[in-house]
Amino acid sequence: MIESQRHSYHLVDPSPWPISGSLGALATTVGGVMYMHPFQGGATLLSLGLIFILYTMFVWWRDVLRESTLEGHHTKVVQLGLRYGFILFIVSEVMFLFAFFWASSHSSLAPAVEIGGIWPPKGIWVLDPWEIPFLNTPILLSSGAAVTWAHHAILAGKEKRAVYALVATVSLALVFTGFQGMEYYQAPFTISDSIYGSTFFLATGFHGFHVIIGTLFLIICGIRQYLGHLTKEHHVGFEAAAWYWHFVDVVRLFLFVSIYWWGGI
Amino acid sequence: MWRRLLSSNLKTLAATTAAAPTRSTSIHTRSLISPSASASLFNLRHFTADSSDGAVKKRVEDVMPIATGHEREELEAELQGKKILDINFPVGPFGTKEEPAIIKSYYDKRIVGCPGGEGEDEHDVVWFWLEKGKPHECPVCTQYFELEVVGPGGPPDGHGDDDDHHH
Amino acid sequence: MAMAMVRSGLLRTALRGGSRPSAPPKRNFASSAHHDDAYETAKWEKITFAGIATCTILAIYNLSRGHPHFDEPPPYPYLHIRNKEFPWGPDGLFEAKHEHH
Repeated sequence: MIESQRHSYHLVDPSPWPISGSLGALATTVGGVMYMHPFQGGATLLSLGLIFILYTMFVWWRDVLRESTLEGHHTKVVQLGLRYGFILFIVSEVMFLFAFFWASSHSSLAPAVEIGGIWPPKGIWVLDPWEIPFLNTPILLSSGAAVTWAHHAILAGKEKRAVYALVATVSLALVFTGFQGMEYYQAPFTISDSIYGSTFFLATGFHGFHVIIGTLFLIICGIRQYLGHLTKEHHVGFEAAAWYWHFVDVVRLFLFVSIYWWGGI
Repeated sequence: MWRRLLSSNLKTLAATTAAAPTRSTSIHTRSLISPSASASLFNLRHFTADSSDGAVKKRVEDVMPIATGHEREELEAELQGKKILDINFPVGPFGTKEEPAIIKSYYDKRIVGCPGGEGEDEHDVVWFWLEKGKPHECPVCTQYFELEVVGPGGPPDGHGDDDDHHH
Repeated sequence: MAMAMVRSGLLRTALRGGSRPSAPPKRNFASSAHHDDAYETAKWEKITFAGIATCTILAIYNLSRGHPHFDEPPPYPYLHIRNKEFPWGPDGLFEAKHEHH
């Protein structure tokens, strides 16, 4: 019956994006170093590298969406591979963030004499965990509920509801990021204020960065849902975004409990 | 880990396919089929394809209107009760000379892996070419294999190379 | 071994996509049972709106209280660490407030 292809794998066509992404990463690294040391043209190279990376991300994922939606290459086996790949990616992300929790715990569980032997260090006025930090946690959790709502809407074939649910998810995410920005702006300490500032802003900052990534991912899913790309049969992209979003949610809970709350008293 | 993944899946498969006959036989033989282009499809997942048993015959348009390409072909086959694009992991009772393990293939030969029997009888996967009309006996566990050509036959594309770029 | 099999089987089932309507009946987690997805949709919609309501109240309460201002801490050596100039100049981008307090 199928004369053209007798296996269900997707043998991808040659693509220029791996090399362009690599060149972008190289330019970003070298440009970043040059920018932070007194070299001429560092800022230019850094910007160029970042633009290259962003462009590569755009066209590469555009190609993946074309291969999936317009060319039908994403058979069941390919979808399974994509899920495995994304799970492994999330596992690597967990390890990445685990390192920052480790750094924070390492510095706070036995505070060094240099910072007064106490945590938070002497002279650091911490944020009240029950103000914006506490507010932002249920905002992100509600966003997680909204993404579950979207998932069930997709499974139930309610396409419009799913778009609304994704709009709610993304809106809550944007509110979260807004409040996070406000919190950073009002924070009485900076990243250069002792190990407390370093660990605090590394952990919460990388979490916030992941929130922004997840928000972009969900926005793309919302657009694709609106365009009718996501069906109840096949919505791997959405599933990946939802998994990612839940991962970001869980990290927020740990952040709140260990860094904002426990680390602030 | 991967092997366990495979075998756990196979267990469910075997349990579902075997249905009535002897529950107690824990000797499910599992033959792994190489995911190469020459790999054929071994239709064992009857239970997923049962949607065609319903009163209404579904078409791809009813299930997933936007499906296209191979994804569509796969869905179509599934609705017709076939599993055309999925790599199936053939599984069945231990193949003997009297009752060999039948491996379906599109072409006249196919790479097959024998993982031995269940539990104690398991061995590292032994890969071999199984050719039409030439039954193969696993040198480790003496399991007996036979190829059944279900497709057009002839030599597989790329002469059996794992990477197939002509399609 | 048996445990590993069970777990990997579960993972595989989850990965295989819980969304196929022709799913075998033994998979009874929420996303595979097709008929009650409508119910689940409504349920999670309610949960979302309850969450939004809670967050709105919390936000209004929070924002109405204003935020505290802090005194400049003593110049401990581990605070305000500057080893070299930023690429854009001597001051941090968002810490003009640092000087005004």
